[in-house]
Amino acid sequence: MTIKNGILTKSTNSSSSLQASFDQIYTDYWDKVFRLCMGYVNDDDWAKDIAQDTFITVWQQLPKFRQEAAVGTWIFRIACNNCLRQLERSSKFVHKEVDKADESSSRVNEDEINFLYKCIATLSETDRLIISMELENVKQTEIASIMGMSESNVRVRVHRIKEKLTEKFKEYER
Amino acid sequence: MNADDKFQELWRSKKSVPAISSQDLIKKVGQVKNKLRSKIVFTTLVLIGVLLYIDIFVFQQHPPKLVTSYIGAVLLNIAIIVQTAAYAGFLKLLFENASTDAPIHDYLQHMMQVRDRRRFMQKTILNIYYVCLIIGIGLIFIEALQNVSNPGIRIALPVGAACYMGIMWFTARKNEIKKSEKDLGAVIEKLQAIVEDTKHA
Repeated sequence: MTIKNGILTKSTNSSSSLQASFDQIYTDYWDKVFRLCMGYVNDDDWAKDIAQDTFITVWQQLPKFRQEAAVGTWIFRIACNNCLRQLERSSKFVHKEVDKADESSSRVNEDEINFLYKCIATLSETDRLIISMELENVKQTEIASIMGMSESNVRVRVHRIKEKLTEKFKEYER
Repeated sequence: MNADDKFQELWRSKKSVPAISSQDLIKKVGQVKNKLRSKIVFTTLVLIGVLLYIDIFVFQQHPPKLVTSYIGAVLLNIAIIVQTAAYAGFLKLLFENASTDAPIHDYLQHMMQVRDRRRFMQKTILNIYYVCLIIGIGLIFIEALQNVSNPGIRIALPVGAACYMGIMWFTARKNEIKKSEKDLGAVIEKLQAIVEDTKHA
């Protein structure tokens, strides 16, 4: 198995080639999956746990991967379903109030990053996943297929979410 | 810089180092599998040991005189075998088949199918287990009580056993079914809400 431009090509199914493909997937997609999970739970440790679970599933399902979708879409599907399975800690982190950052802080960029993730955490579960994939540059057709929505529906949602985020950032900067 | 680019830049600035390497992750998956396999093998061996002890040692050393005791022993064997088979493999297989890479609405359908199959399996298996166990113990008790001379014990023993079995049937069995359905039910409820939400723009 080899990966070229996000497409997994099957050559042999030997365990060493599987491991090599998995290594590449792990390196290429860890940050993307982690960010998607962060967008959903807004907690570093928890997001790492979900990302790890996602890669465990990827490793287990890799020999059965049918290449009906690009490998990225397939991984995002697993990650989304893993996020949606999260229950125990959900009430603790999501929908928490968005704090105003300390303006005197020297870590402006870091504060802005955290603010963006906090804003996303206040959205509905569906919107959190949609905007996370949108910001990860996943095509809207693929987001629609993962979420089971029409493409136009995704487009409208993305537009509304971005408006909300822009509004919140304006307030934050004031 | 427009808002879109800014969000994207901020979003991508978030980086994380994986807690373990890909090789360690593969090893970990293997270890978990081995651990689970060992646990299943150990539980199965213990239950087979209990069966052999009852069937060979107890019944060979003290051969029962009544047919009811033999029927009771057979029912106990069935109960233990059904329980072992169900928990060691069948239900685990149901979970492994969950299509984790399906679109959300298909995933929901799959989870609901798993829940229904699991509900059916658990109810049927647990019912067989408890019915066999209760009737089996009851039948073995008939002969056991004949050997008890103390009239107080002759009454207290079956009454105590009946109470214990009543608690198992009405409380333990129901709790076990409820507990196993709780988490899956919560996930399904959440998925249903999300699927409903995706229908609206």
